[in-house]
Amino acid sequence: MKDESMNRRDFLIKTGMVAGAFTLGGCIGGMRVLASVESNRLGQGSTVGYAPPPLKTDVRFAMALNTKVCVGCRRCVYACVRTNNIPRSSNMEWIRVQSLKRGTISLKNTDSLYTKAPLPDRWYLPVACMQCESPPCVKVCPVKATWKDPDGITVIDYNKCIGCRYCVVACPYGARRFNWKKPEVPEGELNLEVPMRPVGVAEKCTFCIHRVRRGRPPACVEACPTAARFFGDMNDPESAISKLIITRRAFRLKEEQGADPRFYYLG
Amino acid sequence: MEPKKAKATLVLYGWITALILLIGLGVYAYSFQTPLAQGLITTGLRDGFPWGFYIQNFMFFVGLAAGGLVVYASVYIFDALEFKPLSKLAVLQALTCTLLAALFVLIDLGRPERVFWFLLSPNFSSIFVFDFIILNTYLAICAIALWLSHTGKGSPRLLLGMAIVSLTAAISMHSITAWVLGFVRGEELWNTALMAPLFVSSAVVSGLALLIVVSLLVSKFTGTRFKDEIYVKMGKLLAVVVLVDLFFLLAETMTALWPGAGKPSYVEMYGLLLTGKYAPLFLSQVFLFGLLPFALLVIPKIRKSIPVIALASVLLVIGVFIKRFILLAKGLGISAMGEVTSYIPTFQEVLVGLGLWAVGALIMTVGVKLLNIRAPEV
Repeated sequence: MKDESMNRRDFLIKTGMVAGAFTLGGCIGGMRVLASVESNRLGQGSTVGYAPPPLKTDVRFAMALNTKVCVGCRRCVYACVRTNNIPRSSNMEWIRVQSLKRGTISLKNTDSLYTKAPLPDRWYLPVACMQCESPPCVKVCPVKATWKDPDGITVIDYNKCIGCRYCVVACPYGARRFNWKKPEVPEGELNLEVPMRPVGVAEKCTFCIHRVRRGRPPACVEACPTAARFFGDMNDPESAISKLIITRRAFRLKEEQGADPRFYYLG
Repeated sequence: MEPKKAKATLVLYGWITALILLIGLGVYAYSFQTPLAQGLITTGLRDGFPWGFYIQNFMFFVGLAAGGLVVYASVYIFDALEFKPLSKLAVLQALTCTLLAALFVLIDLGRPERVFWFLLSPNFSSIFVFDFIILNTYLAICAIALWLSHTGKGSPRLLLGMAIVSLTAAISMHSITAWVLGFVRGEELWNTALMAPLFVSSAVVSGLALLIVVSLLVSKFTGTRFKDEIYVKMGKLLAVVVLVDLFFLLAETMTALWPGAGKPSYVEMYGLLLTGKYAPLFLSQVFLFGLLPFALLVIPKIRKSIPVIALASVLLVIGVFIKRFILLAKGLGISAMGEVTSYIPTFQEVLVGLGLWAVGALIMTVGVKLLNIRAPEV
């Protein structure tokens, strides 16, 4: 009886030592991974030819959309897909145009998969990342893989995201997408200004960070045939967008969520 | 006597072989979803329903870890000495289930190889980080408690202290896990103060019920038998907790369904639960896996029969498993932009889950053998 219990203790001690050795080895291995990720973060992005655009700290980007003239044609969606290297026909579009019943702003029974527009009894509400001042997605990210840059754009470190999808769950606007599979773009259509995302990380609209930080308008603004979209600097009281927000009947979606979006709809 | 023993050994090795096969199958299935292979596209999850079977299991196993600890702690805090023979098994169950919960979070990640960022750049505004911390703390506490009850070391004072610490940690772990959902402001059906209490109550239900089932299995295969009174007493305790759990459910349902009381989101979701696509799951969870086992545990003529208590326990464990899915569906079943979403786990997902369950069963089997857990001789 005595011998048996000694053996058991012996066994446990040996198992413990082996487990300890593995843990130590794992930690050293982990540190090497860390070093490579850090250098990736601080230097160039993850893809060939991609250089991060310069960051201005004195601007606060915002967008406005005139719901009166939006016809639901989805040209903004197509332009966005092309410039941001979003896989074609993948449901990964960063902009989703919601078709709503006239007379209501209730999202119940909205349809973003409509095939015919404009219809006389519908109105259209394009929705993408609202670049909130107080973004729920940033608050819930467990590893600080997403944050707000000084120009107001909420960005994601694709090399750091662990793929837990808490941000996808927490976004009140359903603006976050997850790379369920490896994203692929047809050969020759790759935009070298925008990094390809790896499989297993979250992504979303960046206000066309590669364009706006170099002084060009976002692709959706440029593509809109009815000129429904406006983009600019809210820090500048003389900018078109600042004036529009003050002079028009501007509202924001789900303001009661308290996220303080910087995407205005003009009625 | 001899052939019986040989048969028992054969059964044990057959069982362990089957578990190892299942684990192998799970690892094989998992290999498809890694970032090196296809990614999580192999699961039934999509943007509209980003958390499914794995997170359901995570929440389920966090819950199962509770009941064990309640039994262990009540031995020392409330002098419930009749539960003492079960305390070692209870702690082993808590340890195993916590480990499984952690593994289920890990396999749910799109980039599991980056999980070390939890340690290197934790974001303390995310309740998820606190869940990571409490899960690991709880694992350590269970390990210490298991060592204490195995070696029989520790003064009564120390054991009492240990029981208080572990009970506090258990309640914290369940509350924090509940808040992972409860703190999502955008999901009205999750963002309720009832979330943590509801989570603790169903956690204790499932944990106690599983302990009853596991200890009966241990009795059966070690050839010893825990006293019947233990089960009658646990059955009674279980009935009380089930009642609390059902009361919370009633409170939520009333708030949703009373004319004019429910917010539109509640009314719409309860429509799906009562008459819509989730009705078979929701109604069976309430009646077959909730009210029926409760009746079995309180009807005077049958509530003292061990097979009845066992049946009720099995039903309750299944019920809480379904409940964890319903909980996810309450938030994710209607997307942020108002669309009804759908999710069915794929075969691949289920195989991975079965593999992890087998890991748990293997740890329990080896643990029971190694720690020599059996009913005390009377």
